[in-house]
Amino acid sequence: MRFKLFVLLGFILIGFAAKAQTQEDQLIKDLIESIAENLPEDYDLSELQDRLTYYRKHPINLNNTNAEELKTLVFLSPLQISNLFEHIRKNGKLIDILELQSIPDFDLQTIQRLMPFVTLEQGSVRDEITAKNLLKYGNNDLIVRYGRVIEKSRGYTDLPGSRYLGTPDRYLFRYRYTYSNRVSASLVFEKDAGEYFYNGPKQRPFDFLSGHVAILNTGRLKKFVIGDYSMQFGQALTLWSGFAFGKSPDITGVAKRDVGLRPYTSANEFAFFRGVAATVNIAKNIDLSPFVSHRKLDASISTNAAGEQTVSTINETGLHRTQSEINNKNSTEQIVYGGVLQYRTTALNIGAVAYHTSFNKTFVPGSSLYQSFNFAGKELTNVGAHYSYTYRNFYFFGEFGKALDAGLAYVNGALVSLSPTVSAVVLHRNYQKNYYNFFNQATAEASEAFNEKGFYAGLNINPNKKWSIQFYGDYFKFPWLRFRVDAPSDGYEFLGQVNYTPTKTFRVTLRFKTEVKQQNTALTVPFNYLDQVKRENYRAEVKWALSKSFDFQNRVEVVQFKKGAADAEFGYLAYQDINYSPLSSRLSANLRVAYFNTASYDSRIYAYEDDVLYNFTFGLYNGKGLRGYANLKYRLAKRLDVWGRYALYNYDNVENVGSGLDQIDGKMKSEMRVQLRYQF
Amino acid sequence: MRKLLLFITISFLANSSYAQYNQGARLTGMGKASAAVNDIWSLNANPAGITGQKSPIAALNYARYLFGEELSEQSFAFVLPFNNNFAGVSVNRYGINEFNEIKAGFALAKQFGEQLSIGVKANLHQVKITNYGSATTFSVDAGLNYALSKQIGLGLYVNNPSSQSYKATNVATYIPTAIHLGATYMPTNKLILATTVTKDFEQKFDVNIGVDYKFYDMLSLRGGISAKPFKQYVGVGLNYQKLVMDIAVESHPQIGYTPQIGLSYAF
Repeated sequence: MRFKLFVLLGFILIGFAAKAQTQEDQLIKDLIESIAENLPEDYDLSELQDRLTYYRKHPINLNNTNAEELKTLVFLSPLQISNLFEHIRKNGKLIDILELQSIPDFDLQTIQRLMPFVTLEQGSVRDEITAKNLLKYGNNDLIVRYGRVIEKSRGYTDLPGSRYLGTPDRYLFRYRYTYSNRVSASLVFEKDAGEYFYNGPKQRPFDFLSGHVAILNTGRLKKFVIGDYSMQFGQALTLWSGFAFGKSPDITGVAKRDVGLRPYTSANEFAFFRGVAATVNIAKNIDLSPFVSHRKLDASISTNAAGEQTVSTINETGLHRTQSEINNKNSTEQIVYGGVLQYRTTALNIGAVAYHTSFNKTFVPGSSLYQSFNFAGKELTNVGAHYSYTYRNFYFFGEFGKALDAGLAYVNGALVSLSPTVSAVVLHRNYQKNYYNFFNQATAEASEAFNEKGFYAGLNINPNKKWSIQFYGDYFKFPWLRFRVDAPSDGYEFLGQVNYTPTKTFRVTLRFKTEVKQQNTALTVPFNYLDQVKRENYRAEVKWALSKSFDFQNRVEVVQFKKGAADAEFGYLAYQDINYSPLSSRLSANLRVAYFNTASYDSRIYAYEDDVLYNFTFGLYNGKGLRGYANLKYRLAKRLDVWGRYALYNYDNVENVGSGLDQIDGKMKSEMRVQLRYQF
Repeated sequence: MRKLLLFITISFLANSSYAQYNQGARLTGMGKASAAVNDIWSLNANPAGITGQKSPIAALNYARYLFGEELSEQSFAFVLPFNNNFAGVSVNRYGINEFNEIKAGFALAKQFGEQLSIGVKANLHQVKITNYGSATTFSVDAGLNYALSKQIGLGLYVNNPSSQSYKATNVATYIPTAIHLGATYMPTNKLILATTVTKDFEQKFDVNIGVDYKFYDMLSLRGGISAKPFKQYVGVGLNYQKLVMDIAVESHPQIGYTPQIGLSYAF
């Protein structure tokens, strides 16, 4: 029986490998797309894509890896990772990659996804850091991107007051160097639309500059980074910068995959640390990660009665287009230092985090009542402890976080493989209203994890290869007021999704999501009372291949929005995607034509859009009209790729598009983008 | 004053979310996704579900509503299998001393081969208010279970299809008329996933989803959710030889937690 399986799997994988050689990017693109479909709108996946692209070239050796490294492959669940190590511990090193099939919880889909990124062979022994090796065996990856909105928006006209001081062009330049798994370096600069290109005020010479040099795996010094880096530990409650998965149809996403210290190579202008950090192995199974960071952040400055300069919120957008945005740029300095201690064995991981954050300006809570428990002062110390423990088919995880002299927060959960075809997740959380933390990405309904209690439960059922079913339900309570919610409130969210894949080239997905929350009434009353706000999404999607080169995707999505006693309003979206990617051609392309009609912004719809490599877009479909885009990729030479994109909105029956400085006369808004990648 | 408040709350509950009678701690722990699940307390859900019992079994269940000190629900059930037939009796009492509702019923179920079983139940309802009087009426429940495969089971049942109500015009309590359609998926003999869709003629669709997972031979873990209103359920079951103890907690956004405990003994 087992032999048969291996043979079967072998054939599948051989076919897979042959295809993979000619279509390396397509594979990652598909994977990212399937992950993106399961995410909220605001995630930046470029870092994930970066990692996967890297592993494609430098596969992880499954016989010589660790949980931290495997967690970066986000499609592996913590339970699978734990089972793999348990299997190796019991049976010795993997001899054949097909052995994965015999490890509990490794289904065919997971193995197929995993294959391109792993190996069992010891990579080239050539990993000594010498000048010659660095030059000869290093990998260089250079990306240059240009884009702009073609129509001129109001902000670029000669307005008397606030206007965009720079040009509407967007530039990105990114250079990355890696040598084996020993050295990594990067340099990124970015100019957003409306910003000065070169030597503008407060920029030397570009608006956003980021870079790092990292040395990895040198004896006890596991990681050492100078420059920009990210820190991701535990359940994202105490110390986590950047992107974290949360509630999504991938129900295991609420168990965070912490990857510790990592060099930062993204163009996001907010979510990183700047300074020096290291991970040192100080004893068997014990790692220490000390770090120091000094950064300038954007914030609007006020002066209080005592003449002190004060700040109430940090601006995270990284946009410096108008005079006031430029004035706010780099107005506040932040110093963070601290460390993380981790003890790790196959089944048990325990970590302790402590760090101190200080600012050169004083924080004052905003004047609204809902803000009264916000952080005040200049200094903050955070401590936390996290754990994960695998027992049989249970994976327990959790974290406690405490802001000294302020609130407490904790989150605990379990991931259970109930049977080979069914897994379940439960998660309980309680974040106090005065839990202050500037690096908190824990699972929450709100965008930040404080002032919230909740219980989440999810089920994932794969009865056979053809069907896969996911559910989750989440009930949450906000003990204190929130923005536009003038009383304690609660709500719930439920999602159900069914995938049917009868053949390799055909897939149907149905998804239903409902969310009920409370919000201030829209009526003008002396004291706002709360209205129920209900938002329901219905989605049906078909993906099918016409031939080896052409595949199609169709989607219909309906949103229903209802607030209080008002009538429900609806939004609709229907689109057709066409994807052309012939096996051995230099050219690949895809395009979308979409029709959307939403009653208002409340019933808007988001959908993932294909874009040039490393750029991620979730299209916002709001109003009534047509949306279309086309992407083209062409392999100019062996190591040189070029991408082009043209996208447009054509709204029905409007005189202008957008609002404020982004307003464009007419009913069209179109955008183009060109990108070049050179790998050497 | 407090009594009055409690009374209003009870009547409110009796009229809306608690229109269904208690289904015992096991089914409650599974989010009441009970239409296709076999249990002794199927007596209060799909009567065809009692055909899962191998030997005579008796059960007691007690639920406590935490917002009122006296408000509780007590239930008793007994099922007797003979040949491929099953007979069952259940009695439920819900309320406080001054106000209570009683539902007592007698069920008959029969297995037709391996796959199909059918059950019917006749109920006697009584609502009684001290110093005010009482009212009585009858209703019928009927249901069937069908095993589609070893792993997948389907269940369908109706409560009170003839829309019986209390004859007394001054009793507002109504007997719900509802149809329930459910399915179970049992990938292994340790795991039951269950779902039930309910349409009460007076209310919106409700969807229940639940899990029963036999962690050890002695210990089962359960959980579930239901949609309208959004409720969460957890439960554990302990069994020792012929004795089973089940505990469940139901969490309602307004009412809070309702714990219950049940004991059953198979002879």
